[in-house]
Amino acid sequence: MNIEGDAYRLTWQDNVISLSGKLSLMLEDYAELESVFEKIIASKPSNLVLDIRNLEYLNSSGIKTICVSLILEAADIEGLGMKILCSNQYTWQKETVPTFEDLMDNMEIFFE
Amino acid sequence: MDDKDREIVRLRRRIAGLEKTLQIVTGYSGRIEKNLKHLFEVVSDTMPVPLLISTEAGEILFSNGKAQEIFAYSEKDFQKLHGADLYEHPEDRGIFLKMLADRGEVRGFAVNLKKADGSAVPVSFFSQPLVFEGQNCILTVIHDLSEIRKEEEKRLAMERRLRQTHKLEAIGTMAGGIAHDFNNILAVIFGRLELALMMLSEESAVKKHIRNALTAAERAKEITRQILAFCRKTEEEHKPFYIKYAVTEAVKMIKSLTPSNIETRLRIESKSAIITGDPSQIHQIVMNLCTNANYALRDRGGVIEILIEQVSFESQKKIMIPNLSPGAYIRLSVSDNGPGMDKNVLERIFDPFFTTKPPGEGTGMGLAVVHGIVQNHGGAVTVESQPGKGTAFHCYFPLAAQTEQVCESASVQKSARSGKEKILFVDDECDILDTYHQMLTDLGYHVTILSESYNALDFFKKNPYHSDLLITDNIMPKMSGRELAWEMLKIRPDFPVILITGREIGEKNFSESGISLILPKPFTQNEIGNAVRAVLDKKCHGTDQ
Repeated sequence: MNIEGDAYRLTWQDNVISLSGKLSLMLEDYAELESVFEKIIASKPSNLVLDIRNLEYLNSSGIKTICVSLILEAADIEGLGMKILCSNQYTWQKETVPTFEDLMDNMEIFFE
Repeated sequence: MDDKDREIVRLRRRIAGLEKTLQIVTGYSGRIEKNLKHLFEVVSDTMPVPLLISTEAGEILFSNGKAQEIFAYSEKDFQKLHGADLYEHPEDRGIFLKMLADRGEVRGFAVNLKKADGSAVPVSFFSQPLVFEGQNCILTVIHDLSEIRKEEEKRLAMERRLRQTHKLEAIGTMAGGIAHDFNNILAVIFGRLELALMMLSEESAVKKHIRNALTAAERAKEITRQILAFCRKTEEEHKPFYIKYAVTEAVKMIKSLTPSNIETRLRIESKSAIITGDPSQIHQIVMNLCTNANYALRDRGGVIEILIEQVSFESQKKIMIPNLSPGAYIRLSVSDNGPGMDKNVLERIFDPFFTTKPPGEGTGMGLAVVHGIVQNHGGAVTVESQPGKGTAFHCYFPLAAQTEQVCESASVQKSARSGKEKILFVDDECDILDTYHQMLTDLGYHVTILSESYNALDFFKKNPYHSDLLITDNIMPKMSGRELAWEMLKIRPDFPVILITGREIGEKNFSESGISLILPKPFTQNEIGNAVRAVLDKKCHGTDQ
């Protein structure tokens, strides 16, 4: 499954969600991503990987969408483990992504 | 735990998650906001143009560093001001706001703003509405036009000077033409008066009146000579010449421009000194230095003294003037007893565009030009001045020669002006032909006169050895005197030619054309007699004098 926006790209394959580019949509424009996350959660995966190593920018609405529509929903699935792959290259990731651990017990965050 | 309890737990966990999400998003937004604010501050303080953010009501919420620098208000001062306070004419703000409301943005609104010290600064506004700190505001980038206006003024001044130069050129051409015609008329007046004088007995009472008329004609001749000097082309010459003539000519001109409370004195201690260079540039040096002296004395009156004298420097040690080598020099000094100059002015006196005169009264180029000319002549210029003790400029030119013998030979020629040779005289002015035919005949010559150059050429072709000398006017219809001489010299290369002209001519233009001598109109019987004799005798003896 793929979504191609003006400045970003989302792919979902083999339980790996990859986000790349720049995501700076208005809150209401995240509905499409929310819908994808909903489908992923509905498939009840045993594990999930969120790869944002090539996501250069994410605005606050995007943070909210990932937190609420993906991570909090995943946290409700019993036994589901989640990994987030990050990049040291982007300051916003270093400052913000570690706080995602507060949202889910079974979460691992990796920086490279 | 039943389903209801599990749902309650799940919802509580979700609420906690949402609370944490809120914290994450808020923290993230705060950092983004801080970063953006920092970005704005860096950009606005880095940009080299003033930037203001104000409300429509006139409150100035933000000013960048460049705005504070140009308008000399601190950030706090700006915040106390009303937008209209910045305008030279506060009503202009209303026009600006209306334009912004009508167009949604303003690009290039030209207006004069006011600095903290009250001075005006011409600017152009580029404005957009925006929300700043939660308020509807106007962001205005201000383009300072001061430098552009100065450049524009410079360009306009250059254009004015160019137009003035073209105008002067046109005046010069016109004056040259007028002087030429006057010289032709004066040639007839001189000739006729001299002939009349010769016909009268010594006792005749009329002789006095004719001599007075001749004196007046001499003055007219001098005036036309000065006009022609003014019209002289600016192409540089490099030839030996008597410096006294160039200086005397310039002093005569400056005297006519000098107010009566200023006395101009010329003293020539070295009368036969020759320097090498361009006489017109020496003329310009004297004009420039005397103009400055005149300016210095304009209110109080005084004396300008011009002195030509010879000085020698025997060894390098004794020379206190840079760029001069041991040797003999002609020193041209222009001094005045005006207010003098202080050390600061003296240090910059030869700098181009440096002037102590008010705007519009001087270009600051006069002394720079003097300096350049003197250097081009292999010399040096110095200045002496003290406040209250006048000013003296000394221009040193290498001495080329001293020629007392030139004057002597001229005086010899004066007494040997008659002869019996055959002269072909060509001029399209019948009055001139008639006058000088009679003059030369009186001196013993056999004169054939012709008023058309083509007829003269035909006459010459039939018998090239009929005449011993051609005297021809230069400017004539169909064929000029120069062309006529050229055609004749092709047939008889040793044929002596005197070219007479009412215009100023650079002699070097004729040096290779075979013309023996150029005689400027008008001339007296004595002068034409001397010229004829000099050319014919030179041919006989085959020597250069």
